[in-house]
Amino acid sequence: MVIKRSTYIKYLFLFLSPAIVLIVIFKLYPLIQNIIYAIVNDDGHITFRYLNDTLHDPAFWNSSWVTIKFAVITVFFEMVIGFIFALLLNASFRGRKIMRTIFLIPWALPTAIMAVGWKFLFQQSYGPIPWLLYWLKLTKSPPYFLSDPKMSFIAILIADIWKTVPFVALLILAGLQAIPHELYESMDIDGASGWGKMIYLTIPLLIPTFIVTLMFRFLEAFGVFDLIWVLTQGGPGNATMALSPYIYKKTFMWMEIHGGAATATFTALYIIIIILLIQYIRNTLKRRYGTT
Amino acid sequence: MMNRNFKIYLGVGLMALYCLFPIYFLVLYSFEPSEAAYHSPPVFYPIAFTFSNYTGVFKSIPLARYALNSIIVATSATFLTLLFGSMAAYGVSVLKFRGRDLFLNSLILLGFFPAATMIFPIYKMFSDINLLNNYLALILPYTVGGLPLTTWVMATYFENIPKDLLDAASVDGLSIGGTYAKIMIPLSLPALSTVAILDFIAFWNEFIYALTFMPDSNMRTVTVGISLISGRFTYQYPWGQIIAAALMVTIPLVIMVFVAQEKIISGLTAGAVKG
Repeated sequence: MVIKRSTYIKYLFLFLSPAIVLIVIFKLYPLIQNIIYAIVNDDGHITFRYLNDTLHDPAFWNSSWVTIKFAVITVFFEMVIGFIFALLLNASFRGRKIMRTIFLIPWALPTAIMAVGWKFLFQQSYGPIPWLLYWLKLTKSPPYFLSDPKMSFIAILIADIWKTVPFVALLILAGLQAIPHELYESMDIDGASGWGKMIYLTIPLLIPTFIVTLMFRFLEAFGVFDLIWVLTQGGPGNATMALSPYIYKKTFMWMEIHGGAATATFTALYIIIIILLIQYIRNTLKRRYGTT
Repeated sequence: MMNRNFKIYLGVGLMALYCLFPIYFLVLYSFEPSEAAYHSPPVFYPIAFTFSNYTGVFKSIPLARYALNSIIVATSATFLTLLFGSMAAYGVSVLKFRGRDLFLNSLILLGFFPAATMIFPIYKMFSDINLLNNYLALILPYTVGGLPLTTWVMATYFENIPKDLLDAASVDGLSIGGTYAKIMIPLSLPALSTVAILDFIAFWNEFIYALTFMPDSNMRTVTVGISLISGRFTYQYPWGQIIAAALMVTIPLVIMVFVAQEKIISGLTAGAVKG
């Protein structure tokens, strides 16, 4: 296209400005404003008190630990089960189309609404899941899911894994289907076994997909809020109080604006560290294998 | 030895069981009388059958109003995010400019920060300009939330539209704006409808903003409205009604998934495979 430079700039500005203005107001400004709340007190003086208090707040470290445990465990199980499901979906069978629809249902259900459903399913004395475990002789009595710290942590793990495995499986399936068929055929000629093909072909070629999925999932799991807020409110005690619900409780229920902002600032720092770490891993793999 | 087909169908059966078992119990209890939720031990198969939960919930909470709120917010935000996202994508992939990678990457990176880390400044801003309890208080943040995915998918799609077409358009005297509106948008309807579905589902399901920016109970969206119904204590929860309401508001999503599963899967995986 032959156009004048000034017209071009005018149009570029026109097309990009709505997105840029909205991002500045609703992403960049709040992130920066939060840091300001964290380091400037009500009199307008700079202070490190709030950041320092957060670093000495056992509840903050508890929440960090809960969040890391939650993200690592859920993402691990989602990847493993998701990989198995993806392999199954990649096989040919009757009813594949229906199966894929069934697969999208857990993903499409609103997390907050399903959390209400899980609250019912996990109820002590009336809930189907504790009784199912008891009748299958997996536990001595119907376990108290939501009043026991360990069990309520397991409850949020189950609810999150249940919802996200199908989504992860679909991402891995897309990666599987991108592997050229000829590669399998040439390994067949070489007489490779099923496991051989899996270990030397499928898994190495899926590494880029695994890493991207891992990154998206881990960052998302790190911000977990809806599920915990509705299912356990962070309790019992602080057993399931991840960082997002902790920030929310501090800011909106205890009205500790500065303390909440300091916690949010450290949480944002965690996110930056995770992104850098994943980028570092990607680059290392790229240098070693020339892919990703 | 087990034959291969049998193993696959066994695996597929287990997958279906995995996806459907919690939903089975919810559907079961939604048709049982409300006391059934307090049977101990619980029921595992239908005993009675009643629609009373489905009709009763409309008397307990303004569910129709919540649904209207959700529809208004999710539809408007979907429209805006498609408009602004496709415009930005056009800027990135057709007009091209220095710093386009920086623009796309910061769009995606900013999307990774949890809503909880930025919600208070937005709440304060809305409260200062009296925008709380206004549909815009959700429409605007949702629009921004949809931008990374929308821009990403649309930019990839635009890149694959043949350049000859754009040249022909400019020979025909179409301006840059005209090319966008008359050539690019009609050509990208498949991609636009894919992201529209993904964005709509995401906005319908959003929780933390809807919980915070709509303190008036009449302005709640279905997601917040249903998750906040409760009796004073857990043992007074109207479980049957809550579950019936939860199922009713997810039916539109299930239909969408059923009709557009191919589109949804291609949209979801577009980012991950290329990423």
